Amino acid sequence: MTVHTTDLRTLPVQAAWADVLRRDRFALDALCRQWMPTVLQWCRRLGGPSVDAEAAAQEDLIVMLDRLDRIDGPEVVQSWLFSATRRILSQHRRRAWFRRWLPGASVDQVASATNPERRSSAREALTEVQDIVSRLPPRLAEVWVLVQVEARTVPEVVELTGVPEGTLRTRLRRARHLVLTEARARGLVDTDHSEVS
Amino acid sequence: MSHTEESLQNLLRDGTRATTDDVDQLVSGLGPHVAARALGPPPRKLSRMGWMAGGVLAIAAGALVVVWTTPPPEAVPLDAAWTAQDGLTVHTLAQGVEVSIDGSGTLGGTSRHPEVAWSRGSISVAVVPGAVDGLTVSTPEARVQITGTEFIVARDALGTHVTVARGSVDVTCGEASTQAVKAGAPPALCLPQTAGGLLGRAQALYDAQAAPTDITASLSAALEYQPSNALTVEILATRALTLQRTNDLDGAWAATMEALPLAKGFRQDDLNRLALSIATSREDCTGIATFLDTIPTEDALAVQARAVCATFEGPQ
Repeated sequence: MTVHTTDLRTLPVQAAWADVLRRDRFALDALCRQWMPTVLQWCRRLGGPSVDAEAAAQEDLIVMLDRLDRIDGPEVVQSWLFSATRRILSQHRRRAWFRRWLPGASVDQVASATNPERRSSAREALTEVQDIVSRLPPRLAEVWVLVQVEARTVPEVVELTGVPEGTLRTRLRRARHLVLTEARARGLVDTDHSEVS
Repeated sequence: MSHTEESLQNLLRDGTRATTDDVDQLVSGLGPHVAARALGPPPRKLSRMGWMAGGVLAIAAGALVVVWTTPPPEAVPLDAAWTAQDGLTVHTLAQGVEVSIDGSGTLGGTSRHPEVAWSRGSISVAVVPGAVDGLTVSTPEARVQITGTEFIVARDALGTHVTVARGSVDVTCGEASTQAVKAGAPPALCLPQTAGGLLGRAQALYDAQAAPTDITASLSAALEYQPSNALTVEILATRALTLQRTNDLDGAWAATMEALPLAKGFRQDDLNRLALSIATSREDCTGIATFLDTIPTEDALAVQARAVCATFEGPQ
């Protein structure tokens, strides 16, 4: 008997929306493959060290698969996923709160005390930055990540988040100020580096 | 090593980048979910009746919007958004209406009847009597209406607090009846109006080491909103933690047992651990035996649990 196998990685990344709506197996898989990198990065960048970003990203895409009929078309998938990511990260933060109190459970906590030896490696500095971002109000954190880290344009972020441009710029200024202030307090950034302009 | 803002951004960008291996692994993990949904039911379409009902509702809503947003002839429309960027700021909304803001919200309505939708932080309002026809400050839990007075609305995880410095205001919490709050009276508190909000309140109270009765009351109120399974599990688990902290171990055990069947597939590991911890505190060897295998043998909690039963059962 001949078994035919298909390497899903060879499928076109851009899933045809009509095939997605028909629930074609390969189209759904391609859709997940197309959006997983973006969603996973959002979860890692916005969830902070206490959130299981991989689990959150998978949950996000499962929700998308369940609600495909509520997505108006391929052009709005990204903003739909971003809204879903917000909700799912909020749920995961609640779980992280619970785990914080769970007897004997390991908790990913970053000490805020300054200790230069602790952050000798880039990994530790990264955890510190993730922690700083996760402690920002979520609406500020998302703007900082989308604009400063992911280098998206303001109009693009306006479309993604639905936040008016003026509000977005204000949030961005505030977020940059808070990130720098906290990074200085933790000794990650020298105090003589310029203030947010 | 010292960084710049840009190098911190680069660090986060590069350190959290999704690799091909990450994506392969996670998409592969989604395989069963994709298979289960492949060739499933076609997307639901709105029926003809649904379209008609939707159209009628839209027209009705449009009419209401027209009626409600039409300003009186002499009124100037107000439109602003405030964020917590500059700490405390003071704004004059109209002649005789001054607000001090430390938080975020939006301003709408007209100069004759300003309407503030407040999200977080504190807003203090001073109105000269007769300066406006009315002024409303709304939060998700509360609606405060005044004519001539001075008051503060503050919103945090615990709810919305309304304090009156001069005159009186009418406060409406959710669907409850309106209550008048006068100057000098204790602040009115409007509790969150969603299960998630009440859970957040309970968790904030827990963090603040508040009275357990206050925490459990908030959790019970949250359950009355018939939350989703996932939220119900969080609520019950928080109740279990609260009762465990007060040494009401039977109550904690009952809450955990209630949560466990709902947590299948997503919080079971955490609840198993909680159950084992409570069983250990209760010195309940039957409970320990039920949950001991759910966590690693070398885990400190497992070691402690085994020690409890060894004490009771003696050397084997």
